[in-house]
Amino acid sequence: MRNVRWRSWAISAGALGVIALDRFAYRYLDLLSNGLHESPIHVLVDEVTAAAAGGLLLIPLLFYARRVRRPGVSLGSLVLRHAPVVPVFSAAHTTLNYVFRLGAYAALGHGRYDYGILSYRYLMEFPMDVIVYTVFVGIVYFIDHARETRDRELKLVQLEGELSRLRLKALESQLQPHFLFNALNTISSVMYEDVRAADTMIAGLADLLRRSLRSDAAAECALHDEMDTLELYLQIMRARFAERLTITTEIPDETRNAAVPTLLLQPLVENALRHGDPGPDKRAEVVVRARRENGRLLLDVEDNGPGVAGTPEDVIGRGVGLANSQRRLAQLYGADQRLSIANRATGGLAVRVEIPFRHLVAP
Amino acid sequence: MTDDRLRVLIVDDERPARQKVRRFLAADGEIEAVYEAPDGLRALEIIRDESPDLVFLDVQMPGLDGFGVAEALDPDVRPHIVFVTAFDQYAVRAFDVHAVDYLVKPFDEARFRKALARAKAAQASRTARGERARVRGLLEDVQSHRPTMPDRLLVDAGDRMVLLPLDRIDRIEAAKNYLRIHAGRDCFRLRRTISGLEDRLDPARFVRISRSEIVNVARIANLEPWFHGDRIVVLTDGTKTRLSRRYRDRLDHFAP
Repeated sequence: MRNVRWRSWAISAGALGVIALDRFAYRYLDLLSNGLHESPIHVLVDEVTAAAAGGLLLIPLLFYARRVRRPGVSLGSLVLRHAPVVPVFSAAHTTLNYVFRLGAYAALGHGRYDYGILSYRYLMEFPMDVIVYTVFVGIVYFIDHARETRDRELKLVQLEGELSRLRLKALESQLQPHFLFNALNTISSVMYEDVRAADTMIAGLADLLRRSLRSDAAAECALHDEMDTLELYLQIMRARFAERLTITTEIPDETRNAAVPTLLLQPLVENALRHGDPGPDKRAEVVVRARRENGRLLLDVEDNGPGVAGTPEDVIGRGVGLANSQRRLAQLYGADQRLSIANRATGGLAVRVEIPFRHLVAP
Repeated sequence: MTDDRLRVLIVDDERPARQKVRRFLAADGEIEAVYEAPDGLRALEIIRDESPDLVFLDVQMPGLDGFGVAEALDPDVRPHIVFVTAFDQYAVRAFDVHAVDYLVKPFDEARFRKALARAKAAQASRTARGERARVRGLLEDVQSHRPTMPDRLLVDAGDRMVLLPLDRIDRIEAAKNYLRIHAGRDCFRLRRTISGLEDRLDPARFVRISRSEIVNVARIANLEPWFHGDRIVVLTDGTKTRLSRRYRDRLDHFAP
């Protein structure tokens, strides 16, 4: 960063030098072609001092130009802010020219520099300074704008990268290794008592894995498809916790073909099972319910656990599963969706997903 | 102990998992009794009432988990523990570091026998002291590295242990060598240092106000000036307590 800054200062100083030499060549050759014999040293001093004085003044101008160009400022107000500064810039430039030349002549031993009638000099330099000022501010704004555009694009790319990382994370949470190893352990235990049941569990687990790993999975699927996946998961959970878990699903026929986000329900049910433990000696009861209402599809996942304390935002922020679900819903439906949680009057937590009701169109 | 026969407790929230351990134990002639607990609190009750020699302790359980159970046990009379986990890379690394016995699920009979034999050997050679030190090291490690703050605290209600939701706590006060947890009209005990507990609590919800006190931020009604830069903290139930000058900056980030 520091290096870049030094380099751009060096380039600017070099450009000023080139301009000074270019102007010197132009003016000296002009004198020669008119048959006039002026010392080249005086012409060189003129042009170098003009460039140095200009360059010195451009430094504060650079900061001023950047300061007045606030985000969203209009062109008109920019012009208004620069217009009064131009005469000041020009007057300062002329004064500095005079001072520098006086110094240069004295240093070279060429006697006292004669600048003619000063008031005319101020008028004479003004039109040229208007051009210098405008071109300089124009270049600064052009470079700044290009840089900002590039930064914005870079940020966009970074955001996209983050998004795909989030997607990967969501996939990982669907493939909970903890769930997987516990399921394998349950199977290895059931095997000793009931080979058939163990076999069924292995087939179910394999189906579930296959569904989670499908790379061509669409973002949405029909509710009945989603329920099939959920059922595979529930079969394993029932085998693990048969004596203290009741899971009921209420899916009316009219909602069976509704479009829902793929693998939305499993994390919600997982969450209910993890945090919805009603305590010892009580059965955990989880209900999954779908309903069509005023063109909306309502999906409820309810448990009979301790419920939650704190605001819904708090809870959604704390429960990783819920935050992921919320993000997915926002990605798919923008503002036309809602994930809400509430403590039930009878105890326990109710999570509700509300999305537009529509039938899944076959691809 | 009259003979070398072991009394074993199996702690797991899943019945098939307990059955599997029970089945493996049944094949062993040196087991005197087998107990089962489906959760951490029940495990603590059984350990207190039956004082088993050996505990197979599942790490992941709702409510009080395996580490919570181990922490709650009196280190001097703690039974030999074999931790059991399905998938917890951090825990497995910690078990290895502290050379504490563990099993990963699913395990087969051969692996189970090996773990049981090690536990028996430890029991016979009475190396309990070394084992206790290792478990203590493990728990300290786990405590300081656990990613999530607990949302409930295991406290002593005198006749039983209770998992107290953090939202219910008003304030925590250091007594001689334990803590007094005030929650409404109830007062519970917890054997832990105030600094140790402070580290485990979410600083946005609980704030240390003096050497001997932590309060629930949600319970602070207002602050009144006091001498020497101290403040009086008034809680919503009217309790007044002192905010020491040295801890004043901890409340700063709650100021508007």
